[in-house]
Amino acid sequence: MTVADVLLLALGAVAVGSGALVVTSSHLVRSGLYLVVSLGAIAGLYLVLGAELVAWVQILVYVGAVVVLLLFAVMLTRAPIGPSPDLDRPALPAALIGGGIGIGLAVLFADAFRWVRHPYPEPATAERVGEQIFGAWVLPFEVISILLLSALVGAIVLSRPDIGARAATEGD
Amino acid sequence: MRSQAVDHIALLPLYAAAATAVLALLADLFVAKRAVTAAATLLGALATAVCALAVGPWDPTFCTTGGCSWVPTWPAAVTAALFAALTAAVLALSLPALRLGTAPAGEFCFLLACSMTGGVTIAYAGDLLTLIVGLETLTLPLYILVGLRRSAPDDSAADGRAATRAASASVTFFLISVISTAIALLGIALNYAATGTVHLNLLGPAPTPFAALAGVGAALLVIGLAFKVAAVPLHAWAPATYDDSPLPIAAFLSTASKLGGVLALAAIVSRLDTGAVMSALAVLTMTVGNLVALRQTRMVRLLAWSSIAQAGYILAALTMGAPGVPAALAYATFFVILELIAFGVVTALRPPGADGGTLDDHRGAARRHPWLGAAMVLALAGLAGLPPGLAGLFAKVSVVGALVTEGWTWLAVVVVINAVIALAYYIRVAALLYTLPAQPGIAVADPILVYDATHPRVTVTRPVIVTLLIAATVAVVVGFAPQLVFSALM
Amino acid sequence: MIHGEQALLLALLAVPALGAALVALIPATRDRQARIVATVFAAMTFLLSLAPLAYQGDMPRRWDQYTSGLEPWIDLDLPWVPALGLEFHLGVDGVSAPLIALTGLLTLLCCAYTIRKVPSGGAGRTLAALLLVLEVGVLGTFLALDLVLFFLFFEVVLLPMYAVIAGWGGPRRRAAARKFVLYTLAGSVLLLLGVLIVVARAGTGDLVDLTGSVQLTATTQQAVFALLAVAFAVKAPLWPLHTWLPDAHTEAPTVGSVILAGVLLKMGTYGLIRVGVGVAPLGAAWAAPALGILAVIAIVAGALICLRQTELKRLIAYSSVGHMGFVLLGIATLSITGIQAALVGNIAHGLITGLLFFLAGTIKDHTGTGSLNQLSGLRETAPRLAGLFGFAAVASLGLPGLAGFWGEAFAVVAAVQRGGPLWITLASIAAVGGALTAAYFLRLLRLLTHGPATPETHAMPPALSRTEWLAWTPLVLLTIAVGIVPALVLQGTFESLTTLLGARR
Repeated sequence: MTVADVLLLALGAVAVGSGALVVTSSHLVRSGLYLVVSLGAIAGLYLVLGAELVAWVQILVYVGAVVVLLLFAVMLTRAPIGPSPDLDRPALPAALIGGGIGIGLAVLFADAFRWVRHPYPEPATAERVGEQIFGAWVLPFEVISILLLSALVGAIVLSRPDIGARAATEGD
Repeated sequence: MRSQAVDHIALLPLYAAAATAVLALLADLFVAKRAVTAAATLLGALATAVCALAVGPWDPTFCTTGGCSWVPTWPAAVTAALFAALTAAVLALSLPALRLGTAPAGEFCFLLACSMTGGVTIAYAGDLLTLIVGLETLTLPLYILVGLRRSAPDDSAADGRAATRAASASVTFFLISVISTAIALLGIALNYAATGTVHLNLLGPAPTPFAALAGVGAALLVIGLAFKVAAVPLHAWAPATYDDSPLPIAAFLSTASKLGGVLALAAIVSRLDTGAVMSALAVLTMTVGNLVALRQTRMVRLLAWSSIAQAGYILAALTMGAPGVPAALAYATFFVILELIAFGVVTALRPPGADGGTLDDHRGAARRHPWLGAAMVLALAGLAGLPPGLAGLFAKVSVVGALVTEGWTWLAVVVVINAVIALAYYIRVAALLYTLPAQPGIAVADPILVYDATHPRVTVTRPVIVTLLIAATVAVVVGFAPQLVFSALM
Repeated sequence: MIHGEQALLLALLAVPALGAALVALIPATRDRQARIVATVFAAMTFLLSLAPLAYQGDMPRRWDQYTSGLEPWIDLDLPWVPALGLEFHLGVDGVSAPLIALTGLLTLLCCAYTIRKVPSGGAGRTLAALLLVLEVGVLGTFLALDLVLFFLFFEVVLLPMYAVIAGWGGPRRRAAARKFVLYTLAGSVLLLLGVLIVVARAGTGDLVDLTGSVQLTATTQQAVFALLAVAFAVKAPLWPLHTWLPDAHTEAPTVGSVILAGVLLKMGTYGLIRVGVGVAPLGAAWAAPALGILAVIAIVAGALICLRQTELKRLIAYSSVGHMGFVLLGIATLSITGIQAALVGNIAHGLITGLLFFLAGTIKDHTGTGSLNQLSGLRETAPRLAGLFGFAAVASLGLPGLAGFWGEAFAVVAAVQRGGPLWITLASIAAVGGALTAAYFLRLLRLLTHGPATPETHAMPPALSRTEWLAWTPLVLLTIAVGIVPALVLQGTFESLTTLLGARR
């Protein structure tokens, strides 16, 4: 049991536990904050596995942008700060499905890899990630740019009813 | 470090599609005339189709050790051209609604063109990552297009309800789509863990310790992609989403989005062993789709359930793996053309911007619009697999023939039984089109006059007529010369 | 390069198709002219359909000159869809030529009938166009020499016939039409399965290559014949798959019933001979006893049900079940006599039942009812019609000297010649069935034509109109002609059947 194994187990437990708390908590704001913990733990997992760029991107994008956006949305829509009894609380079926899938995947991986010892990978620096993207995966990278542009334009046009608003009378 | 070699000629269809999208935005910005924007997008879509067919099979590009990301083959070119043609057709069908202002024209054309770009990417994809990115690029603009509805300031509450339903359909579609993409990505990850590759030409059975892992990965990938074709049990989003979205967008969902899912599935099943999962999906999809369609009262929901069942026939062909892919792609091509005609006729018979209406709203429509009725009969007969829709008949024969030849006779029996069940509702719709309209309950001097007064005639606009004419001509031509489609997709 | 006689085969399909398209495009104001145009096209097709009879084999062949189980008189083979193994292979021989002529004749008579009388429910020109489309489908079925092409033309008739029944039929036409189309499609998909199994196992769909060859194993042939037999049994129809027939016939308009009974049913029996026995002879031999038993049950059941019928068209419909039972008994014996009996029985049934349905249609149109409880004493109010009706009924029950006799009598003779306890029993029961047929037809005549005239019958015009004479005289004359000289129908069949059945013996 190396230090890396211990760290993986610990961070994994934190991620799964806080994830479960996100879904089961009845306080909306607490759910958001538990999400921060969970995503941060996953960033920690990336760091342990040596994927530096992905870890920092995780912190920047998910923790920094997405969760902050969530909290802003909670604040601006005046969502209840205290406990909300009408929040859906997942009951037995969800727990069964989630737990079942988790255990199933764990068994699958254990059966496939057994006690294979993997050498510790090279750290995935920005340089290495860049080499891979521009050396082997240029096409999906470029097509994603179209995807993101359409998401941007779509979000704007969907949320701004004044763009292309219908006039009272017909006309261009 | 060397960057990848790029062959720009092979990429011409992608460039054309992306350029169309950008051109639509720029035209809307600088010229700001709806007609110019729509014309630019239409021309761009046609240019994409021409580029795809003109380039045809070419050397693969974006290659790395092991495989290539962009693989131009003849089937890829034909399906890319099909995506472009469907985009042009749906845009033409939307023109009356755009004229009414139900959606901002520039953004609408741009999003449709982005979808087309995603479709073209799927057609030529050479590895799983490009495939998923293409699939997402195809679907993401559709989340927005489904929910994009502008109401006029003085509109009654009815229109507001339509906007709410559209928004809820959009959110449902988005949520389920995202979950299924996550499942598909998990499948790809498991497969990568087992085999160490994502390039399609390197996919195959994994070495023994990882066989179970790879198998589960393949199954998850198939289930995630099965959502896109609305296979049972991942189909529940389809009828509600089709019904609450604008009619041309429902047409696009039913044709192009399904085609994308079929192409992605075809790429997977021809290389990985997924027969068991696919056969279960196929049987469930066909049977549930047909049985529930029998009970529908709304036109678009009936067409949605019928397209779920039709996807089941395609899944049955894909169950066979690599030998079934030509039959599946041929069926998908014939199906897409006929479905476009069906949705086009429904669009033509309804006021611009309206939804599909109930089946009773279409009663007697063929007596007032004989050519539209004939087109609808062509489409419904083709979907049922009977003449005069010869295209559909050849589609069914090719799938059943492939199943029998490869030894999947039990699945062939299920397919033909479902074909009989399906005829029951296709014939119901076709008969309803020609039924005399219901007489008013009280005695009137001139029932026809009363009917005409209470059911104002819908003028069919020119873009819709032209689209239907072209689509019907193509359906008749491939009905009499199906070898064109079969040779193109071999 | 297409020779003249091959162009004949193409013309047989192209002319009615062209006619249907033209008639459908004529505007509504010229409806009567459109129906006349349709009749002209039907007449042209009829003349073309008589032409193959002139191409019968000129000289008898020596025993060693038979190369295949199927030797068409005219043969046209064009590639169409190689990916599906589908060739556009048309041909005509002794088995199909009389049926083609019958189709041409009945379609012509029906189109001529629509000039004068269009049932309510839609435009007359649409009905005439649909009749021409039906003709294309039926002629295509009789001409097709490729299995998938046969299936394609088999399917062509489904939707037009549905449209005819659902559009111009009686009060319960929707349900009857829906039952018809769903039943027939169920049979057709079984045909598709059988055809595709043959194509997959034998590697070809060409009937000329498949007939009489031994490319299929015995088990495959049995499975294939079972599928094909059920498919054709739905179409023929054979008891117990006949339940779509009475409703469809009763609710269909007059011309619909004539085409359905006279022509569409023949597709089933022809398919059984050409495709079932031709492609899977071992399977046919294995299933023959079952077919024979079901055929005899059909004869007796049809007769017993007819004895209790009170509705005119329904009675004639059930009589069709009985007659087809005789035809199927003839086929089940798998002997030359039996199949010749089936062939002449086909033609006879087409002529006679077509005439019966024309007459019943006229009665129903004028009196407004088809119920035997309300119709009586036709002899007094419309003597010529009653006389024709008597003639048709007597021909249908198998009076020697008229066409119906040959089909019934020689089916029984073939069964007896086959020998063995089963077949002799079947022959005797069939003979009893023939007597029952006579019983119910005589009962029908007694109820309809004799007795006091009811108010409904008084509505009948005393004389027949010119259209009616023109439409019915050919049927009457042909019934007598075929009855006296069955060689008219059977002339070219001996060689065709020898080669067809010879492979098995």
